[in-house]
Amino acid sequence: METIAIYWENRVKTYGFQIKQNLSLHHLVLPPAAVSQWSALLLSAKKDIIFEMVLLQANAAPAFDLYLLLQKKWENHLAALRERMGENIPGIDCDTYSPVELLHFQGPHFGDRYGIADKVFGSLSQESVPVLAMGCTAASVYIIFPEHEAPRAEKVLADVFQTPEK
Amino acid sequence: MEKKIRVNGIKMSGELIQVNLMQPDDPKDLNALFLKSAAENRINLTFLSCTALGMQRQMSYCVPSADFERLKTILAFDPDLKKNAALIASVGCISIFPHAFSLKFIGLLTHVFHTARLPLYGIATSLSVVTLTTDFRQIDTAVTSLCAHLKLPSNHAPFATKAPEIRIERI
Repeated sequence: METIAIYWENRVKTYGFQIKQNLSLHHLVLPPAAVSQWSALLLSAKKDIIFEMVLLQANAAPAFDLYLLLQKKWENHLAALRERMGENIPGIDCDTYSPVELLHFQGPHFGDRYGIADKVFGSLSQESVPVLAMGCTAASVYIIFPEHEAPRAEKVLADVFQTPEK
Repeated sequence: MEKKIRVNGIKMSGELIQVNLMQPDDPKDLNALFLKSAAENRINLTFLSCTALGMQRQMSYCVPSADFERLKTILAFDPDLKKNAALIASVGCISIFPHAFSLKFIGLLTHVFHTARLPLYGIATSLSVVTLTTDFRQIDTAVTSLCAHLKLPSNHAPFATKAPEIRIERI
């Protein structure tokens, strides 16, 4: 392990916050046996669904918790997929949360630095901004909020993180 | 033969440890506690996914295996963290870009993992990258299986980083 020292800003730099509103979050619980059929259905679908964000977590059941953040216009397509799936594997649970909002941002070397997620969660928690889901990979932070909360979160995060001057 | 999907690159992480944390029905926020402790112990999170819908709150974090001792310190510090955390000892991240926001593409990835009988511990997407976590000992097999369905540029970057692992220390 090689250790290097770097400059660390007082306020962590970002490339700016992006917000998307009026989205829907779908939570599907897939037993392991259903993953193959789910994948096959997606691959054989005539029309692709364009997502905003995908999260998958393996739970202890064992099953997969699949979270799909979509624009509302894709709801019927997803419902049709689920219906086709349900014909062969009954009991696939799906909960939908709508409307929800997405806030995402990137920053320099976020993937190599500690403390970014803590800064995000800590500041949002301090201002009681509820978070439905969050994903951090590479240099990106993606957060899903209930309706009306993303603009409030942006204000909170703008006090903690530096954004480019407009 | 199905048509291969064009992607620009694949990256493999070094060896990681995945921490799966379940929040019990308790006011003590284990996610906040873990993130604060990780920051204080200078542990970078290579991968993070958190969900808090209804009563179910589940978190997954991947940390470099080199930070195992620091991770043990965090978990030992709080009995609730220790009790509700499950560790997967040898995990690797595979990042593929771009995903083009295509759910079919995600379906292809889960199809490949299922067909090759590879463990899938988590997926998270960002602006252009989709990251999967799997068994580190099978990460080469996973990439080979994926490459059978993906078309990469002839001059693509190496999948694995050959540079030494680094720890960034704040000054």
